[in-house]
Amino acid sequence: MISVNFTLIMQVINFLILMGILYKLLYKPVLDFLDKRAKDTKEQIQATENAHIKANNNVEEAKKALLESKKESMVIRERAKQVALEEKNEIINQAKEEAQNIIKETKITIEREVSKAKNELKEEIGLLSINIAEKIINKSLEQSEHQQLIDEYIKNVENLH
Amino acid sequence: MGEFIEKVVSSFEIGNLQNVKEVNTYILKIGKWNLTLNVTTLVMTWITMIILIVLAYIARKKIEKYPSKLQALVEMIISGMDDLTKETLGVVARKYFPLITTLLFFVLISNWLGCIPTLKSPTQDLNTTLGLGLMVFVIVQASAIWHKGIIEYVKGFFQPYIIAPLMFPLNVVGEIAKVISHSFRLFGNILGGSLIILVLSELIRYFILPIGLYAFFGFFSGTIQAFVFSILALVYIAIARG
Repeated sequence: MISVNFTLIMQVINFLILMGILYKLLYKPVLDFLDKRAKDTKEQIQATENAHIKANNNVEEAKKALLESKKESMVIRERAKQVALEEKNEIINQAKEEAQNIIKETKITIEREVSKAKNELKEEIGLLSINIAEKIINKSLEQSEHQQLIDEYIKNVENLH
Repeated sequence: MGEFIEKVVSSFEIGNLQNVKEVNTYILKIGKWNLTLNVTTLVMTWITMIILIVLAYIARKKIEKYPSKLQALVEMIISGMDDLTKETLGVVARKYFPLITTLLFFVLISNWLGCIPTLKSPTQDLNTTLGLGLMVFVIVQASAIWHKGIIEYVKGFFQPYIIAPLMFPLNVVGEIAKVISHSFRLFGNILGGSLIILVLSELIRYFILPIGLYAFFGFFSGTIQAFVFSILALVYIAIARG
């Protein structure tokens, strides 16, 4: 039942033949296929990671750009505010200046009018004085007439104002 | 040649205890050499080879980018064995992958064939298991010499050096024992299993086919033994390479 003979050598030869056939027929193609697929998968994972990194970078860049544009808009707004403030101040100043000019001019006009009126009054007073003097000189006046003249004079003066 | 074919045909007769005791042999005469061949073993080995080659061909043909169930199974087995050899042997794993995987497949299918009544597993014959064991032994020693160099390889038999004269024969015996244990474990398990099945079948006169025994000794024990045989070969190579 247990005997070692030439079958032993034959079995080794059979095994080696089988190993060779299976290597050519199965192991090599399957291992090559698995290696290729593993390589492809690795490449795809790498590509995905790269795309992910790139996307992250893009997001970062976009965030940075957004921040910069926000900053820029803030600067522009501040500048606009400042310009507006300056313009407002300028307008106010101009208005003030104009108002003062108008006041000044008005004052001058008033003063001129007043002085003109004064001059006219003076002239009127002069004329009235002359009249009164004429009247005093030409006729002797009674006390009541005298008083009447004075009242008239005063009345005239009041009318002038 | 006619006698050989007769022997081949007779090897398929319904098995009984008598058939286990008597080996179906054929004497091959080459010159002055009379070479004895166990016909049943050889025929069963060829059947195993044909089954494996056909399965490999079918599996190879079905390889596509999007795997089918069969392809997924083949990929799982091949990549599993690839990972196993890589974990044990590292960068040289692919050189030993065909040997280890073929050992697993060959022994597995051989053991499973023993489950079919009238068929005998090739691993029931010591010539098969010892042949494979010796082949593994030669490969292990060659691998050790190739990896370490002849001087370091020989030095290895004298370690530890303090008791070198005593260690050398012990180490040599240890190496030979590996072949014997490797071969006889498989042979004993498979032959033992088939003998139990035959004895029980004879006792109950084949009235009830002992399915449970076939399942246990054929499939379960056969699978375990095939795995153990190939893993031991892998471990021996890994140990030899240091």
